[in-house]
Amino acid sequence: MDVIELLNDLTGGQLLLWKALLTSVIFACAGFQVLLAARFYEASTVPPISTATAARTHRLNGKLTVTLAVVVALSCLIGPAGPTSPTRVLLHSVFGSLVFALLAAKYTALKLRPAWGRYLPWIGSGLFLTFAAIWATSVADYVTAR
Amino acid sequence: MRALRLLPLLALTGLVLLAAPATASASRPAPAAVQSTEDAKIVDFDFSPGQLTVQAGTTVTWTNTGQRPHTATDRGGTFDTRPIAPGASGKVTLSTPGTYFYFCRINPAKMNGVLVVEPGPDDVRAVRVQAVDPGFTGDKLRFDPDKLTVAAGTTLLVANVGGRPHTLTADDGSFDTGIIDPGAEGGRFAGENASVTLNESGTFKFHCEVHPAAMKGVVTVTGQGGGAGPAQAAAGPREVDVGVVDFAFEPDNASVAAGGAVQLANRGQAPHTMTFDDVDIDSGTIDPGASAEVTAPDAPGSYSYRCTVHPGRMRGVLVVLGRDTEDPNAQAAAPAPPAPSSDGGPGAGVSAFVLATAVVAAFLGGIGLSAFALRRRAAA
Repeated sequence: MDVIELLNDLTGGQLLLWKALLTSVIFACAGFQVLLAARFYEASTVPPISTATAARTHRLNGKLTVTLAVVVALSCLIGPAGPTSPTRVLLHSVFGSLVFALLAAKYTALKLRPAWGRYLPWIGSGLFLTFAAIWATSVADYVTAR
Repeated sequence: MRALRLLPLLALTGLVLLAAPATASASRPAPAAVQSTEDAKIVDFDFSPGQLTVQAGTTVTWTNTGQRPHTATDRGGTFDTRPIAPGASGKVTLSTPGTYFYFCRINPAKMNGVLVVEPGPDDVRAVRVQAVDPGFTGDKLRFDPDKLTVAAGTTLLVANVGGRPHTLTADDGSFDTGIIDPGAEGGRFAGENASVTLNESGTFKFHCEVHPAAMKGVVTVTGQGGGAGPAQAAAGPREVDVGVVDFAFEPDNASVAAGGAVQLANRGQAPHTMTFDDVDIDSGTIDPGASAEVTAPDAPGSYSYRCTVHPGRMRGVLVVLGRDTEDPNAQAAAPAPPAPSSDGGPGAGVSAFVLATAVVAAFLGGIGLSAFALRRRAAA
């Protein structure tokens, strides 16, 4: 059995549906990440939690988001949904690659180049906007392509 | 904090566990039951009840309560409901007494059931005898039944429900079905059937010419015969057109003669393929506006296929007709199954969920981005 058949069996033949649901959850997690980052950078008082709690939650939520993103990205690479329009696929591929490029830049700034720390809010904001673009070029197409 | 480092692994495990029930519940066997009801259910992936006993002349209705299309198909090739969409029903009227091993020809490994048709109040003009072997059912070599008594003029309908060729041949040579081929791929698909009419009274021992030591039986013919003819032969079209649109095959149930040509025309906006699940036949990618041709398998049976680009949404079944098999897609009198409740796409609940999630994401992210922007302006 090939991998795409296994994924289809695991999801009861609803692989695209599951990808759409997970991509939406990832997008929501990304939005929450930005909000938490604004809190522990003390740019915002929302949500009403301490900056330490916000930082801890940010790391936990980030790990969850990246894990889900990897799962969805792998299923996209193994069993692409196929183009309903070549432009959509091109944009989706560009944004999908950009997400992982931005993640690499973020981890580099955190672990290897502390001096780049001042760029982290920009990178985080870019990640959120890129996740939004990925959602718009996949899930939005899925729920409207009838 | 160390526990947090394991979060990705835990999340991945949770995801797999979340998806697992779909397959776990699929392999759960349905309890067998003997009853004289006409109704039966199909679930993903089983028949309920697994065994059903009815009188000859009864119409059995299978309602598909699962999420995927299924069929109820005789392993001996005498009936086939055609694919029943989720929520729809398929009907078969059983007039010949005997035991029927039936299965879903889309999921032949998982879905098997037994129908026992008992003689009704009318005169019995035909009786079914099954040629059984270990082929796909794991049974032993035998005729089912191996002892029977019929009136002269009765037709024996011999159905090969196994994975090997069989015959039903009188020891004295007074009747012989000839070789009855098994279903394709060792019985994975429906086998063929043949009939002999017994007009002379007497007791006749019979055997299978291919397995003479293991498969034996005896039939007692009483009275004087009238005669009933053998099953009608059917021939399939040498060529069939299947349209490909976004995102369906039209029709998704087509019939063609063994080795016939399937003409494909992509009338959609996306590329598609016709890729068979169980045999190595693949159209390759068909671009929008392009056409392709694939050659149907040589062995009669039902073959499921999919579009590898859209495997979750685009599926179909090609029936390859044998010399003596009726075309299940040519039953003009059969009621068309009602359309499924949805158009095959995501339901309103899913659309609402993903849109609501996106709004929440935009709201949360928007607040965060605004906070950063305002702080930067204040600092400036």
